[in-house]
Amino acid sequence: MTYRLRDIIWPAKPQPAQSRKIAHNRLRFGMVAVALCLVTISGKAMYLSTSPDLRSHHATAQKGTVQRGAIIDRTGKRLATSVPVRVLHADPKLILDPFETAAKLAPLLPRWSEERLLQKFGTKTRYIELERRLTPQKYKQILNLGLPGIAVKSTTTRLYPHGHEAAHILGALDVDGKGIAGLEKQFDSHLASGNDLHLALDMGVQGVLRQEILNQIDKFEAIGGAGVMIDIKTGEVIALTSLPDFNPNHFGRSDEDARFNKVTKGVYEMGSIFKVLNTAIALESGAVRFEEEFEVSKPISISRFKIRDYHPHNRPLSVSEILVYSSNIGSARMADAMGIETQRAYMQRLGLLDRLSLELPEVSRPLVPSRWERIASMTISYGHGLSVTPLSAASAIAAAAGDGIYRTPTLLKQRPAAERIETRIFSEDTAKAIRSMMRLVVSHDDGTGNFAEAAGYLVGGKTGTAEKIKGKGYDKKANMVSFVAGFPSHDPAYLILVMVDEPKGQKFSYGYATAGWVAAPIVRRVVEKVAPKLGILPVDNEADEVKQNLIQDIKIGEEEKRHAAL
Amino acid sequence: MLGRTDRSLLGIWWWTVDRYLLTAILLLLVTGILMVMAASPAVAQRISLPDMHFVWRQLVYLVPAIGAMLFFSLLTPRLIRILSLLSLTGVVGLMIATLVLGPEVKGATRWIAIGPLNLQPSEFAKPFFAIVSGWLLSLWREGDDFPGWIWAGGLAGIIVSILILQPDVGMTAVVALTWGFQMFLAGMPWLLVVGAVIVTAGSFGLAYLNLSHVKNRVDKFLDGGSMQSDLSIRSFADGGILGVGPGDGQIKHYLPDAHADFIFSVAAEEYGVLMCLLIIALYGFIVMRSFSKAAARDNLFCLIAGAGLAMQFGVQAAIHMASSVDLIPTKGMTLPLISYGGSSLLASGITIGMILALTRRRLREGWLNG
Repeated sequence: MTYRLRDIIWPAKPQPAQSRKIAHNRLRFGMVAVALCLVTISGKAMYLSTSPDLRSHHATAQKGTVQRGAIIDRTGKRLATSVPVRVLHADPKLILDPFETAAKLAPLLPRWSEERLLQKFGTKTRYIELERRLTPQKYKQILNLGLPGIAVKSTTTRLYPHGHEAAHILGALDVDGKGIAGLEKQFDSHLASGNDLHLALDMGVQGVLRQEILNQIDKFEAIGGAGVMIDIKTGEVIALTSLPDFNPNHFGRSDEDARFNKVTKGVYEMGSIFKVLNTAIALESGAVRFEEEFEVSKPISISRFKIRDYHPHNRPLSVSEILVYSSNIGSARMADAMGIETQRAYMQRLGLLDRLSLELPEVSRPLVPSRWERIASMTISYGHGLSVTPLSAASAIAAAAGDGIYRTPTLLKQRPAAERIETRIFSEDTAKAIRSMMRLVVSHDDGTGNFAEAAGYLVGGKTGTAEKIKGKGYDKKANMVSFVAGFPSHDPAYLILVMVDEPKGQKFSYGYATAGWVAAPIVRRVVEKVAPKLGILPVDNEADEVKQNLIQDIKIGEEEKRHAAL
Repeated sequence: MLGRTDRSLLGIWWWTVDRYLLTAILLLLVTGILMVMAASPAVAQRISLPDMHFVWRQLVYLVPAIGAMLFFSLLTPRLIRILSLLSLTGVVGLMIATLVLGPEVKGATRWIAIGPLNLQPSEFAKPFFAIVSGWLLSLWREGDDFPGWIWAGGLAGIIVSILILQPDVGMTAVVALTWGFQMFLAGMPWLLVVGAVIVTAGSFGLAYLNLSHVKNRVDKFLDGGSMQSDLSIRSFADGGILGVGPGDGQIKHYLPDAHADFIFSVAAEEYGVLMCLLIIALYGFIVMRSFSKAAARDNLFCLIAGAGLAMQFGVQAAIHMASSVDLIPTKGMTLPLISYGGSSLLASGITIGMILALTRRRLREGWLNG
């Protein structure tokens, strides 16, 4: 055994001839090994040479990926579009002479100084983006410099040609081209697979609404504002703006405040504009008759809480007067008359108690009172105790102040088919009564919304003041004033809701910063500018169609005038 | 010119030398000049030398290289043995001197100045070692009780130690592989062959763990490549099948030693992968032809020494090309007969000359005491 083992490990030396034979045979192994090595190298060389992906300059944009679809408004304007761009970038590892490279590049790149380039070239990174949207001239100039380590690649970038204008609706993309806000996020896969998105939005109207709110924010030194305009007949959102806003082209540079969509993400106690709903529910449920009057001379004491009016009236007020004078006491009494359950059921059907199903990721749930008691129902009647998004409020009011039908709002252009979810909440008669009363808020001398009157367009509206909840209680100084309006009142086509955040009284407004002074004029200006574009013709108050569709003989303040005469 | 009956030294040489091998070698030399002409002007410009600086120098280096090739190819095996033994002694001495005295160039001490010449002695150690080691091994197999494998192993150990100290991992691998292959040919038992493979793998592991620059290179390689390998890969991709055209390549502007350590990549970029395949085929042909002609001598020394030399030549080419195509970490290894460099060219000339000498057809008994 030992002999054999030794034989395997170290065999006895063979004869010289045998040694030559062994060497001869083993040479074949060497040949095979060499051949294998060379074949492997050849194979790898062939593979590398036929791999277009590895080439230095990718002449084509990423293959296999489709260009992201565009977002288009109802008039065909492109609000978000992907365009091919040349991105200039540097690979410090390939730069031969950082000093020369920085010195030659800096004059061509306005955003870079020579020092900053040099500093960047000294870092360990392999990729520095120098310029995202290289113009053809710059591209040529930089190519002519022939600097190693400086390269240009073709890719696509997302452009928002209208800048700030529809920012909160459009949203933005992150650096990887993935939607991170707004419609870009909501419809990310739809857009990413190359499909366009057609919106209900009208950029003309959007621009006017935004600009008019901006102007008023400026005049009244307010901190922000919001506005939305809905097509009453379809539920389409024609314009939606939240201010301050951001530029989607530079989403990263905007702050939280600017990114916040007040119209869909903010929830507020909407204040007196809720009285429109309260009145409509009271009439529709039959709890209150149109001719009925309510005692409003004394504040209502309930629990440790007092409901009072800003301008007390020493006589009973009619349903119409309660709305026109914006009486809290009267509204509370009407809510009492309809009962908690009726109020809640209508609010539910008007979509005020659920999260709105809108095509945006940024939509908040309403803050519904945990115990809907008598006191809650009374305060909710004039817009306190229930916080909803402004868009929810606008959609509900569009039903009451329109044709009585509730339509879920949508940002997308609607097919004219009967696919829409439409729910009749109020009868034609109730809607007509509400329209007539809202018209008086604007047209009657005692109305709070006189400044919203746009001659010929029969604007009907309602003022409101939301007290912003700051900390635990209400901040008496921090108000959000609002105005909600439908036009033209005899056959409402559009509903506008505008809000201005913390306006301050001005000399020209005699120190007032109320909804009537701040928010109502916005509606007038917007209506005057957009109605002609939207094909709405001015009408005469005495026209037959107006007489048919509005109650003409509502008496407001007759009692008081009589008192004054005595 | 040289008749079959010509009995002059050159006449015998012409009729006995392997002319296919000779043709392949001349083709490689011509290719080499083309490549250096393509790659070196960019390198010269960068260090403010005349454009054709390296080209002229390469042409000048070709004279001694071809001279050495002719000279060694004329020698008999016995003369080669003696010359190699003497030369190896001198070269190893020089290598030790380099280690002590030589300047550090790019992190390694490999060069020594002898008069006006800047030499890399280790380039010359390789071929002479192959001869001496082949001699010792054949003596062991054919002689009486001479433990040639121990002597050869010891010699390999000394050279490898010096190379590791320089440090020069590429050359270490070439010398170690040459010796290993010769041991294999000399009839090393299979069990030990397997053991040697394991030990080799282990020593690569040790080199990785203990030699920081090896670790750096390997880590970079595993990390997805250094800038050099990135560029090299790109040169293949950009070159495609037919290349971007002579002179139009980019890689030579970026790589410091494009005309030496990355000449294969320059070839790929400017002349295309077809040129690369041609070069690979030429090396393959030279190695295979040398193997079979060395075996045909039916002389154990000629076989072991000749095949060892051919293997050495092939391994060096393979390491250069494999690192160009990113199969192995980048090595500072020249492509024999093609890369720019005096030492490399002269050493290659000597190697080829000795291969030609050992693969010459056998003459009738008694001639030249072959």
